[in-house]
Amino acid sequence: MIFWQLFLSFFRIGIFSFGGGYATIPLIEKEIIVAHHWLTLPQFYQVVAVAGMTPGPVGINCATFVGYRVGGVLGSIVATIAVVLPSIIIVSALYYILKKYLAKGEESVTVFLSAMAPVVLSMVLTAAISIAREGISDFRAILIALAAFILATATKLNILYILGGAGLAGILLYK
Amino acid sequence: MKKNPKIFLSFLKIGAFTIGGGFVMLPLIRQEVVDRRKWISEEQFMHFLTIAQSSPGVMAVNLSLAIGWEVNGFSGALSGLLGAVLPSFVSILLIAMLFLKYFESAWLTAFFKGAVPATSGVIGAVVFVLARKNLKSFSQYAALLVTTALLVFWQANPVLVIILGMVVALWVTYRRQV
Repeated sequence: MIFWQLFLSFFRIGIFSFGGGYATIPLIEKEIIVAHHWLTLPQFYQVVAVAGMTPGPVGINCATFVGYRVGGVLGSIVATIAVVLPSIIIVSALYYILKKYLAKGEESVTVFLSAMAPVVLSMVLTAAISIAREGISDFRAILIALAAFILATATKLNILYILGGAGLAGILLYK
Repeated sequence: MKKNPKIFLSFLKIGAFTIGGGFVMLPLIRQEVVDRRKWISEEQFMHFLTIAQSSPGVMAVNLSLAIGWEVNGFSGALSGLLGAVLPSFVSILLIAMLFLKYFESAWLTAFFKGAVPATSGVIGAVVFVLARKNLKSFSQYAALLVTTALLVFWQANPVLVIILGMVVALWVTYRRQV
């Protein structure tokens, strides 16, 4: 039954993908291409490229696209629900645990969280660095990145305007 | 307006306008829920980010769930989730159905040549803002540099880095109590 297979595959992706964003792509590749042959490798990389140019998280984009290709609109709904279901369960459990211990005023939780903070931030910093490595090809791009950094830290300007402005600058500079 | 529609719309807006994956949503989510709506503090944001990164699945979805929980319980969590997922779902479905080729236009390529570097800038900025608020000791900054080096230069597996971080964090917590 194709919908059940879709559900199981994307549920597995939802459980075993850690690190967020592009870190999850090898796992998705394994499930979709190696295990089920739902897409060919070039098709898959096209999906990844499209996912990078459409709104929202890459994991959701992949689930929706593959679900549609395999089982139509219903398939896309099944795959998308399957990929977020483990999150709902696990995040809710962690949230509950965090709240419980914080409410008790247990100092150990605060210590644990502040010890974890550098690790969590390093993952975000790594995302920024890998995007910079991919996307910055010349001096003008470095200036755009620096300007965006300064505007986002020193002003209250809406970040959407910063990104949109940078896109317009890209059209002026590169078109 | 009731809380759930507000949560839904906040994440819908962020989900609809951020292109390039979940990490791009991060600075916008922080600005929306901490600076604008004032739903949670900077410190709580860091806690929820830790939950989101320590859980499997889509990071931005995890973050929307944890923040939604805090603002309005389980229904708030589902509102956040729905807002974060819907734009992605709808736009991909349209592309898959209509085979739109808009992403091959030269204008759009130039737009992204400008927007992508800015993306790295605003994600770097959110790290800066969160670090300034949440990292207080020299050893925390040292840990940030070491783990980033592990991830960037040695392409360490993020799962292993998270687990290693948890082990070290548990050890630090244990030592503090003795």
